[in-house]
Amino acid sequence: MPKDTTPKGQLKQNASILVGDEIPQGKFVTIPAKDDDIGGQLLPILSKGLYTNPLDCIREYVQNSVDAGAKKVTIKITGNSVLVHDTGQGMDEAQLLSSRKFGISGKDLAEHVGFRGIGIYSGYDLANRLIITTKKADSQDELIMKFDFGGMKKELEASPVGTITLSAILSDFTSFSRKPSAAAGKSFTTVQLEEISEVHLRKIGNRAELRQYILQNLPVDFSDNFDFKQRITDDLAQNVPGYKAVTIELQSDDEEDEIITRPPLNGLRAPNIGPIYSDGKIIAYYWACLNKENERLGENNLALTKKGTYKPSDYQGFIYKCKGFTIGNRDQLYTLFTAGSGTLYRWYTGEIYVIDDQVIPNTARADFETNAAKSRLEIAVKSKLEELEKAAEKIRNTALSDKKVTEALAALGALHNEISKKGIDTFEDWDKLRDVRDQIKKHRAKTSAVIKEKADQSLKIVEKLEKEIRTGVSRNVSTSHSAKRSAKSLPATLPFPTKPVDPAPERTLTDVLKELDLFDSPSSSRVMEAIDAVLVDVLGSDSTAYQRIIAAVETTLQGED
Amino acid sequence: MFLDSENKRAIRERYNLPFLSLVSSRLGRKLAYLGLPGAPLNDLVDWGPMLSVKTCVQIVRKPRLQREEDLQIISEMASTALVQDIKQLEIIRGAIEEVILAGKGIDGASPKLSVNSGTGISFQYDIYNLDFLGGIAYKKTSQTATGQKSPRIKAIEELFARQRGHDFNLFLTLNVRDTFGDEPVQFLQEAAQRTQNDLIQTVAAWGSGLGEGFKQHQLRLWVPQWIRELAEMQNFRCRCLPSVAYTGHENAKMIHFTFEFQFVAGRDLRVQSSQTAEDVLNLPMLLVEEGRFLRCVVSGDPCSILEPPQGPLTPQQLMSCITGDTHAELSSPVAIQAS
Repeated sequence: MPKDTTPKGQLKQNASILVGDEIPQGKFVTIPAKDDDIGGQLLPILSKGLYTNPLDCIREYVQNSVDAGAKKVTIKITGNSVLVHDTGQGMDEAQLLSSRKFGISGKDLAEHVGFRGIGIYSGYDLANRLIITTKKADSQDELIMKFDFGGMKKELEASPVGTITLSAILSDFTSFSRKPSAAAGKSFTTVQLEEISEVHLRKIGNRAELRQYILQNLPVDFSDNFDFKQRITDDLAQNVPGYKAVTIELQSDDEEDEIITRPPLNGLRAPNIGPIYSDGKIIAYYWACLNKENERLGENNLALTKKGTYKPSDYQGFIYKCKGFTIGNRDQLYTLFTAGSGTLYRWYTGEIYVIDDQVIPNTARADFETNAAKSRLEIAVKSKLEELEKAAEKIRNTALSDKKVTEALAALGALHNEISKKGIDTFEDWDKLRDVRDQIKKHRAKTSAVIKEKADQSLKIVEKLEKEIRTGVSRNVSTSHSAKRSAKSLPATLPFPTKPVDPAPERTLTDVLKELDLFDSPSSSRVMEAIDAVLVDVLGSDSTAYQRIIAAVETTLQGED
Repeated sequence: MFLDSENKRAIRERYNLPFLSLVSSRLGRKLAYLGLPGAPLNDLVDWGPMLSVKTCVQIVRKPRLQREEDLQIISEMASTALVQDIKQLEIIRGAIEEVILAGKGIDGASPKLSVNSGTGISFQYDIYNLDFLGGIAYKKTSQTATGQKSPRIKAIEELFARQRGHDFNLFLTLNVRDTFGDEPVQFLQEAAQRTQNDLIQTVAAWGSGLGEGFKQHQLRLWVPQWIRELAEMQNFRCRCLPSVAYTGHENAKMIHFTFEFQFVAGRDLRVQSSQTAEDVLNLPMLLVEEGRFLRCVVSGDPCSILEPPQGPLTPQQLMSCITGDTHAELSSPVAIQAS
C-alpha cells in the first residue's frame, strides 16, 4: 500500500480549480474556500448553542488551565468580572496568537481535554470583554490579548447577515499588548471576563451553585481527609495518561476565600481499583468504594464535612471522567445495575476514567460522540459494573444473612432466658426451638465467618436443648423440675445474647401447704412450720431431696382435689 | 497612568512600611487599607504583610479612550492581585472623591468597611493612601462662580467625618501642580494674623514670598496645618510626620505627607493635638534622591532651626522621623553644613 504523504493537518485533495473556472464534467475537483466563506454569525451561533449554562464557560477556561499544566486554579468573582487564574506554563506570543483561532486547536488529544478551539469563545455571550494576560517563566514580559465581545456583538447586529466574515470580526475586535512584568520567574495565565451581564453574573456569583458545578464537573482534587486519597490518586496517576487533579480556590468580594476539594467521604470500604478492558486493550480505569453500612451513600458518609456543603446523592454511583473532567452525570450509568431496580448502584461511589482517545466527549460534555469506540466502552463498562454489582450483591446477601442469623440468635437467647426462668414448656418450647434452628440453618451458609462460627456453636446448643426436652418428656417429670435441669445443663458461655434472669425465690414446704389452704388452725400451721424448718436445716432449701419432697406433696395433694 | 519610580519605592519601603509596622504592632492586628494603588498594586505588594482588607479605588473616566485606559488599569489590578496572591482585595470603580463623598463607586458598590446607617455613611479603615498625581485641587471656573469647593478638597474634609469614631492614618502624596492660585498664601497669612506666634508669622511671610520653583516648600507649610485643623474639628488628635519631597515619574515634583489621627470620644467641642502648629512647622523636610533620604533645606527657611546632617539619613535617623523623636536624632553632631 503506498505511503500517505499528505502533511499533517492537511486533507488529501482532488485536482483543484479556482473560483470562476468551469467545473469539469465527469470528475470531482476541489475549489479552495476563502476566509469570506465563513460568516461572523458563526461566532454567536456556536458560543450560544454550545454553552447554555454560563458556568460551562468557567469550565472551558479551567480546562485550558489544566491543559497548561496548572496545579492550582483561582476563580475570582469581583464586581461584574470573573477571573480564572492559573499558574500553568503560560503562553508565548505564537501560542497566544494561535489561541485566537476559531475551531482550530493545536492540542494533542491524548494529553489535553480541550481540542476544538472554541472554548476560548465560551464567554462571548456572557461578557463584553475578554482579556487574557499570560507570561512564561523565562519571559520578562506579560502578553495581553483583548477581545472586545461587546464591539463584535454590536458590529454583527448592525451588519446584515452574511456580510461580515469571521476573520474580519476577529481581526477588528481583538488587540494585543505587552508590558514588563513584576512576576519574575513566574508563569501564569489570567482570563478575565468583564462586564458580565447581570443575569449571568447572578448565576456565576452564586457561591453554592458555583461550588456544586465545580465539584461535579472539574478535576477537583480529593480532600486530604479522605482515607483513600493517596491510594486512588497514586493509582490514577500511574495508570491514567494525562490524569490531572487541581486545587481550585474560589474568591469573591463578599465571601471568605474557599479551597474546593472533593468531600472527605468516610465510612467506605477500601476501594476496588483497576483497568477496564476491551479486546485485551485497556480502554478505561476505574475506582469504586462501597458504603460500609450496606446502604446507599448518605449523610453519615459526609460526617466530616460542613452540613449542607455536599449532597450525598451527588456522590452515589459512577461517573465518567476524561482527563479529570466529568462527562455526563451519575444517573447515566444507573441502568447498568439491574438487580432490585439498581438499588445497589447507590451503595457505591466511583469514577471511570476513559483512556481510549477514540472516545471523544461531545462539546457540551454531556456524553461521548457516537462511534465504535464509544460502543466498545459501553460494553466493557457494562460488564465491569455487572461484576461490581455482583460483588455488592454478595455483600448485601451476607449482610442480610448475618442479620437473620443474628435475629435468630437473639431469639435463642430469649428462649434460653425463658427456660431458665420458668422451665421447659414442652410443646411450645419445642416449636420455638425448631423455628430458631431452621432460621439459623437457612441463612448460615451465606453469613460472614464470624456469624457463621456463632451460628455453628448455637446449633450445637439447640441440639442439646432439644435432647433435654426429649429426655424431660420421656421421664414424664414435672415441668419445673425439668426446667431446673435444662437451665443448669446449658453451657456457661453462650454464643447468643441472653438477659440476666432473676433467681426465682425458693419455695418452702410451708408455702406449698399455705397455697393449698391446708391449715385449718394456727396450731397445725405452727407444727408444719416447725417440721419444715427442721427439713430445711437438715437438707437445705435448694437441695434436690427437699425439692422432691415439695413436688411429691404438691402432686399428691393436687391429685386428691 | 501610574508609573513607579526609584524614589517612590524608597518612600514606600523605608518610610511607609516601618510606619505601618509600628501602627500595626501597636494595634495588634493588620490594617485595613483604602487607596489608589494603580495597576501594579505596589503599595499592596510592599505592605502586604501589614494589611488586611484592601479597598482599591480606580477612576473610570467618561471619554472613550480614557475609559478604555481606566478599564485596562482595573483589569490589570485584578490580574496582578491574583499573580501576586494578594487576598481580601476589592476594586471600587470611581473617582476617590466620589467614593468618599457618596460612599460608593459608579456601580453602586460601597467600600467593604463602610457602613451606611440612618445617620450617614461611616468608614472604618486604618490607612488611606491618597496618591494625587494631579495635585491637591483643580478649581474649575464654574465651581468658583457658584461658590463650590473643588471635589478633592471637599472629599478630604469629608473623610474626617466618615472616619469619626475610628483612629486612622493618612499618606497623602501631591503633585505640586494645582490651580489653587493664591489660596495657600492667603491661608498662611490668615493663620498668621490669627496668632501672635512669631514663628508662624515669619513662616507665613517667607512662604508667601516663595516662587513657583519652591512649591514643595509652600505645600509643606500649609497642608499639614490645614489637615490638622480638619482633624481637630472632627475630634481627632493629629500627629504629622516630616514631609518628604521627591521627583517622581517624568520629573514630576511631588511631596508626600504622613498623618496619624486619634479619635477622642465623648467630646463635643474641638480637640487640640499635642503637636502644636509650631511643632508641625518645625518638622524637618526630607528629600529623596536616587532612593536616598536627605534633609531638604532652603536658604532662609525660618523653620530650619537645626543644622542639616551631612549625607543620607541613617536608618536610625529615619526611624526617629517616623516615631516622632526627630530632635534627638536629627541634631546629631554630623549635621554641619547648610545647603
